[in-house]
Amino acid sequence: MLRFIVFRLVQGAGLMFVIAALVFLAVYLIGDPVELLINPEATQIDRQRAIERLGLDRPVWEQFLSYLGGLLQGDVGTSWVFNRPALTVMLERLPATLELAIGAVILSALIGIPLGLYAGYRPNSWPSRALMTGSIVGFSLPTFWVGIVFIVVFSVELGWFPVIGRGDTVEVLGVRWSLLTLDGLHHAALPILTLALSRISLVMRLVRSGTQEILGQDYVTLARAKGVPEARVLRKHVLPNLMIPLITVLGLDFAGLLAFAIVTETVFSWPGMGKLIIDSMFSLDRPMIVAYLICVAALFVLANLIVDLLYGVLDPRISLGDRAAR
Amino acid sequence: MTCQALLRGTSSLVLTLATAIIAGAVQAQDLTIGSMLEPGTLDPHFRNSGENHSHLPGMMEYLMWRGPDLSVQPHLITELRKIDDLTYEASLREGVLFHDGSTFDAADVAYVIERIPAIPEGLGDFNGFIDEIERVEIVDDHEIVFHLSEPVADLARNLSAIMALPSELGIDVSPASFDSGASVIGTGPYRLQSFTPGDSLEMVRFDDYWGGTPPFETVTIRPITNDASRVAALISGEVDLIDFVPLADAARLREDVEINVFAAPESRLMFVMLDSIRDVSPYVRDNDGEALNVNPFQDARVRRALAISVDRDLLVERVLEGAGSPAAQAFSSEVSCTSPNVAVPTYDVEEARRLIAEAGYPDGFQVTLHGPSDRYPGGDRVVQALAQFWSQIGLDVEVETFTRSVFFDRARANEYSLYFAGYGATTVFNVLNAIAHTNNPDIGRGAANRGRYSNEEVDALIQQASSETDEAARCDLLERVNELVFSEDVGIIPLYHPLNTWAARAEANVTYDPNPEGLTWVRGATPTQ
Repeated sequence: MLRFIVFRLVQGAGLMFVIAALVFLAVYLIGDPVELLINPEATQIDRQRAIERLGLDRPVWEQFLSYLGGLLQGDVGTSWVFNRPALTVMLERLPATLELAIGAVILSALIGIPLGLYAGYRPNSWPSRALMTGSIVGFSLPTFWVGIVFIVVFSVELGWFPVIGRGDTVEVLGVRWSLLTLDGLHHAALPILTLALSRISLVMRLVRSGTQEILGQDYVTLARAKGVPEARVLRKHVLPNLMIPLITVLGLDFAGLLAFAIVTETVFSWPGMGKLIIDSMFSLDRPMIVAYLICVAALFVLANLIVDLLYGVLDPRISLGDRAAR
Repeated sequence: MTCQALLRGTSSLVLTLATAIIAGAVQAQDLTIGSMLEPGTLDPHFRNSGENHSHLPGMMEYLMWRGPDLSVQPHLITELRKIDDLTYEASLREGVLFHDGSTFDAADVAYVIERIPAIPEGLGDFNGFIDEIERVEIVDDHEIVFHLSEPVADLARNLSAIMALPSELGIDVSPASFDSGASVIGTGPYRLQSFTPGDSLEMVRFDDYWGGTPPFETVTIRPITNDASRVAALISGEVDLIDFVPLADAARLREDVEINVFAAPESRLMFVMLDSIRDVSPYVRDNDGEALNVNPFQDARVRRALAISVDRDLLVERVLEGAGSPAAQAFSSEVSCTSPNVAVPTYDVEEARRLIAEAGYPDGFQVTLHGPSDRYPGGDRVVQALAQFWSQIGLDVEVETFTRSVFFDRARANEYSLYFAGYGATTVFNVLNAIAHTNNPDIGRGAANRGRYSNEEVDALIQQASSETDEAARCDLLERVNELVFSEDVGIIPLYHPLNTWAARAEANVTYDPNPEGLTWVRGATPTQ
């Protein structure tokens, strides 16, 4: 187990290096940040000064080396807009995004699993058919559109939910959380629902096909033959066996939610990482973009590791030590 | 009067009173602004950007002030007297308190001038304003002398970009202390209450403000970058005032009785630049599509014909849905240094046809008009409209638009014959210097003159203006440049000044006084009387 974790971490570090190099070069190619950052009225002298201060007059390899050096010391650079370490600025925004992602994953599991179970258990009933058709809609609607429609219907017309921000927050362990206050929940409801909508459809479809497959297995037939009540069959035989594909998908999706809740955050003015990266891209705040991309890569590596570890817990047949040794 | 009637009368009086009191309580107001602009840091000397110049001046104040006509006025510095080219005396306003209770005095000005170049991080945005200030001599608490290393054309204007901080902060005050709020100590009408990046900037009234009691109890800035969300937040009542109302919504909100809309032309000129320098222009063809071996835009009659065949009233009313005002010169005539002799070109198709024929193109010619597709609100529709206007005088205009980075790269390389663009600035000088002076990167002039308009007289006047320290004399020179470029030469075709739009809920009782720079100033908002 320990060997496996160490092996994966080393592998992750190698991957991170490659990503760091790619990210740096990609961002370098995007365009001239001075053009976007500097005031349009700036003189030639101001421009030259800015280029020198940002180190943009040095050759690419020199910039890359000094950036790598900083990276090894845990320093991803100082934001050109916020005038603070990019990592600090980003980590400040992390809880807000984390809340949305956790909320969306929980919501999609809470709604998606029971509905999917039902649809798989009674595949030909009309509610199942309705659910399946509905899930296609949930899949295919673009997030920004859903967000705007939610705002127009629930905030502007009905006035039930607020449009912007996180609402009241409460400080736990030095981090501000809004899901722990009533007002915060009120604010989070719409963005979480927006983010969860396509995930609910995804989970539902996944669970439905899994259920149908498992219901045809011998052990289910045996259980039924023994006279085990249907509810118990679903709970004890179907559900646990569904968990492995579900955890994989939700685990990786969680990392995706953290990294790419961009649209939802922008529409609801949610002060999370997604909104930060969009704003940073508009101003070509390079250290901020690089820090973000590197953290996202780290997040995915970590999420993969956790998913793998969960396999071992959920399925005793999978031995992690063996895999690492192979 | 029966007892009952009396009772009824009294109760209605009580009700009226109660309403008045409640209304009064609402009047002792809180203001929430939903803004597209969000400051990254609260350090007033870090970034010279619209974001920072919008929301920080509510708390920290400029040494000099730019008025609604963009002229420079006294503020924390009450008087700036020129002794000679290298020496300026300044008197400071007395009785000004910082939020921490200390008094604003000469040491604070000296401190700020010293601090700006000492900031290690960032672009050094503000250095350009004070590069020439060699030393600040403190005469007494409220008298200082600026000693310059070389002459500066407009020291007062430079100082109007610099916000005052108390010298007690020390030269190496940390960036983090601004974001925590500890160092956000200004002389402005509002004190910082809290700052949560990306979420809110909260301010409370500073009761000892030198300019009288500020009108709002608290002011909250909520950054809302998404256009649709910003409008939704206003309509749902979450915010009282928003800026940058999207073009499509502005027309609708104007009709809405629950919403008040405030607008002002921005200090930005939208124009068409003509390739008047080359003898053969790449996108000009005869009516058979063959390259033309002369450049019609070198003929002033053709340029004038193009200028007068655009119906600017129609353009701003229909195409821009009211979000613009017809342009005659660099800025609208309310702004100082614009010429009273330059009028919006009169729409006259007959005259335009006559001019085109006289220039030798009775059947017109073919040309491609270029423009950026995503830079200016409604810009893509404007270029289409221009093509229609010019087809009336026999021109066969093809329209081609690109995304902004591609468009400006190609414009810089002088690849077009005719293009649509804009330039915004805080002074008429800066506009003319950028778009009308001959393109010359070496001396930093004509940076946005991508059609290479060139007139020696114009160049000479601009250069003269750049070293003229007397404001009135400088304005005279610039007025003359406006006349030459836009009226006599028609080297650049002026189209319109875009309108910046703010909107407030009628219920919130807020009036916004828009400014030509398009900034969202806390002090621009006042309770409706």
